[in-house]
Amino acid sequence: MLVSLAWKNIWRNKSRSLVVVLAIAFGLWGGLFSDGLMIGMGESMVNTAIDRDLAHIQIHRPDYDETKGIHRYIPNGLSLADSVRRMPHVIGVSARTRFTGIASSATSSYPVQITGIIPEQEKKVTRLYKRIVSGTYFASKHKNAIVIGQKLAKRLRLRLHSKIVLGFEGAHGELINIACRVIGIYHSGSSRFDESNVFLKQNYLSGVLGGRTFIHEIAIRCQKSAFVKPITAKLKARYPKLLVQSWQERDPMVAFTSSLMIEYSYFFLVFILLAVLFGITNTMLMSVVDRIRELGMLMAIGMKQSRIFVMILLESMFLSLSGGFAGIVLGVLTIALTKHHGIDLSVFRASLESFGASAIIYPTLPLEMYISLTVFIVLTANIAGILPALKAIHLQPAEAIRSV
Amino acid sequence: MALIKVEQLTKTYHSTAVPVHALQNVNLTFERGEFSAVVGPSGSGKTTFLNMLGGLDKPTSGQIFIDGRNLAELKGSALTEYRLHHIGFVFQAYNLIPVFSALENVEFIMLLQGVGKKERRKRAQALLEAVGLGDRLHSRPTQLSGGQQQRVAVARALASRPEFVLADEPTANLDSHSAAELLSLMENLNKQFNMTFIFSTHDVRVIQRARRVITLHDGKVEKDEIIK
Amino acid sequence: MYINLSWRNIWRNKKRTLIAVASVFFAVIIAVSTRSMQLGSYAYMIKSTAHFYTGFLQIQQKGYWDNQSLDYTMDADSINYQTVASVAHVTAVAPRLESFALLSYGKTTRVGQVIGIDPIKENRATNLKSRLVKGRYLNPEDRAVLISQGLAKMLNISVGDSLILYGQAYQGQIAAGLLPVQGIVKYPVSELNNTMVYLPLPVAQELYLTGNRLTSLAVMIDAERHLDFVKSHLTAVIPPHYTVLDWKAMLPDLHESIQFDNVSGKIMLAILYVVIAFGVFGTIIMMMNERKREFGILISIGMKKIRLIFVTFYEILFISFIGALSGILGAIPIVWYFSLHPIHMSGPAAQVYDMLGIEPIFCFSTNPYIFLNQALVVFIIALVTFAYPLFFLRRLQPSTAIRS
Repeated sequence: MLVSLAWKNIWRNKSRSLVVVLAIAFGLWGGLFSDGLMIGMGESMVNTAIDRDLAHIQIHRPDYDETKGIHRYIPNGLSLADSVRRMPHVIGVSARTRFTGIASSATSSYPVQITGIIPEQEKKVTRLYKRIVSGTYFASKHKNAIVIGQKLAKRLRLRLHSKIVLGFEGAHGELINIACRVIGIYHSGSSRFDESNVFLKQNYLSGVLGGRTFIHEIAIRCQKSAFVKPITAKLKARYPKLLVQSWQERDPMVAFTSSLMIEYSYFFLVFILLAVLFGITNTMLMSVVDRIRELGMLMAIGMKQSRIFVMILLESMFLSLSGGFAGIVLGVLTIALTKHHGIDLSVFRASLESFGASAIIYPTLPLEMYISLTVFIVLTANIAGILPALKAIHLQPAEAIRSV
Repeated sequence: MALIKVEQLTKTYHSTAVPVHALQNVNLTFERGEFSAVVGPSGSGKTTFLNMLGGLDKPTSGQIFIDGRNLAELKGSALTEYRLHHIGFVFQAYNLIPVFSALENVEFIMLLQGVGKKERRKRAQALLEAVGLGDRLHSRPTQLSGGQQQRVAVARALASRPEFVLADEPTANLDSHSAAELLSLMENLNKQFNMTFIFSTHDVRVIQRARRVITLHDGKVEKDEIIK
Repeated sequence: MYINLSWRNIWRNKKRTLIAVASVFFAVIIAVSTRSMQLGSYAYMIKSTAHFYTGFLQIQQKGYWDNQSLDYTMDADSINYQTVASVAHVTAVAPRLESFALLSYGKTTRVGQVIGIDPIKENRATNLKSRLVKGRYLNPEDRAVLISQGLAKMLNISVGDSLILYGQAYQGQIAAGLLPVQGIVKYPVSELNNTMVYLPLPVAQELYLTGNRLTSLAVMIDAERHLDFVKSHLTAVIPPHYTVLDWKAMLPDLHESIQFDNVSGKIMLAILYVVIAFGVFGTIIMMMNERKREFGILISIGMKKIRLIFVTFYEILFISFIGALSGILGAIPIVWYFSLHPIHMSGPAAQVYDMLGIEPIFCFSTNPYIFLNQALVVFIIALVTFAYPLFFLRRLQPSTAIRS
């Protein structure tokens, strides 16, 4: 009954309560939606990175990253890739030849990362093949076929079928130059990636390198993201001498940035709740002052101070939760509505792609956030209610009644 | 044994520059079943006196014994508990919780006492019928007339099964018809249940019906008459 | 006298007024601090990127930027250096010849960015000399290079060792050279720290077979706000087949990232402010309703409605401005302190920024515009919340008001 009393008390002054409820609803709605965008951006970054080149798990020789030189190859790389391919829940393995060099055209040159792949294998691991904007992804009979990024093509003034020269250090320290034919141009969304990554047929590259196939990087795609951790652990145990890394370990920045988004989201919500706190406190305070005689009467007839205190806190909670509920519902609705088509932020395409996100963001909010938010609201309501509740119980019944 | 015994009750207010002697050495006793009025002009101390009896205010000196129990021994929430179970109140106004119906208002005090749901409902209904509002159980105070609101207040006061009921100017806001109705009601309840009613009033209509009239003047007992 | 009345009126209910004031204070102090941090950081990012690398503006041959090719170089004699340097707000001009090369030492080859500079002019523009951590700085007659620290480490090369440079020269020829390392410079951003090689202009021109040509003239100015002014004036003094690019065109990612961050920051603050506005609004509603009777009496005894409207307007202004002013005053020490001691990020957060090519520090701007801007926002909130009392008072009928 006390609960019922608290609830009814809130709606005594409809306009006053409505203002606070609307404030909370609006604030939370704005906060949840912005957070949804932020977290969506974070997820976009992760998925984009994985699909573009990172894959779920990578294996290298421990000293490969120091120089990314051709000599730091994985021993028996091809057979290793084969055995990983046979593991359960692994849907793709690409054994890559990968080192740095310079790409030149008739007009200019640029440093690039040269990657030799088996296209059919690579397709099972990354989605770069879906980002071809001109030409094909290795549907070509040319042995020296090369697929380059759009940014690089622009930079070197290359088109389909143009000739591009790659210069790099060979197996014996000699400088090698090879001429390749551009048969495909891709646009991955990261101009940085596009201008510095070129892909060749692995067997051609091996031929140029004296007939040996050097495998520097093994990229693995798992059936589902849930399998990444266990499979990584298994691989680490199986190949203790090699550097086995999950995508989070390989590119901690991506993982970290994504979790940073979530942190910022929580911060923003807390700020909004702090702003809302003032409104709740004031409303409750006024509500108590309005009822000064009634509160005096309740104390007179025998309602204990502790009960009155709890009643006020309950009122504060109901008020806050009403607004909170409305805000959460609005947030859930707007996120659900925009989740499938995404929000087109092409206005900021360049900047978003430079972060590694895509221009279309799909707002998303983890379930835990809604739960945490509700907890925060309850906490805020209680803190806001303390001052008014204290005021209510420090009334002297005799004085309160005498106000009659 | 007297229900209420008041000894040398004194109350002085120091809130203004000149101290106000609201009550000065008042000595009185009240027995069960009384229907008594404390009267006097404004400033005579009658409201103060009733507040003392109800434990709403503390005396400067003197004692109040209710059923042999010294009220001064009770403090804080213990005093509140005591009021809850032993004293009934009817105020001049603002008796009821506006968001509750008449029934809920009467139930509320029993809820505070810890009475079970079914029992609460039963007693509340009975009491409201007894005060003639059996058909307005679910009306909110705003939907009731002044007189009806006061009747609900009486029902509420009785619901807690107190030792006595203190009524501070219960008829002040009522027209003559409602006032008369209310008084008749309280008189009947007094006779029916032997419930003690102590009024503070300057309403002639109340004074006429009271069986004992105590007149206060400047904080002292000027007269103490038994009428009937 | 009406102002006096308004002032006293708001203090009739101390707690309520203080809470409303506190909410505005909270919003303003947060707003000023975060905007100061955002704007300060942007200015710093622009300034440092300009200083480290691009300059605020560059004079180039038309077509150079899109192609990045040595074929689009400028004749060094075709531009009057003095004329450029004497344009108002220009603080330094540095001629450059930039390209890429494969850099070799011992068994290691890396790709790096090679910049031919005028050591004196370059230092005046970018303080290159101050970044020297080992060896000697370049003199114009030297035939040696400065190499960035990260690059030196990767190549395992130190002062005195000779570096092989190999790349594509002017008009398709080959650039090849062997030069001793004279000094090592350090950058706080890894992207620059891992790629830069500096040599005197004549040596670079010899290496790349360009003759007395330049790829760009980097121009430094005293403050970002003079950018457009300088740009138009520079355009006027250079030959018609040359063009002036500002940092926004050269670093569109940075430009858009700043815009993106700016816009999102503003949106979040807007949400915060709306919540606070609701709170103030609610307070005003309470105040109005509480004094309905009093207003009715005042109008009955002869006070013109318009006067009452003014009185309430002043009250709203007082509440908003005490809040805004205290917020601004509260923010001043925060902003002042951090502008002198920028926040240095550490750990993974710092690495994220470094990865994006941004120095990981938060600078605070002390631009008074920031403070004034927030005061303006608060004023607008005050105006908007004033709508209620305006409406309320116009509709007020004295007779009904008194009876309430």
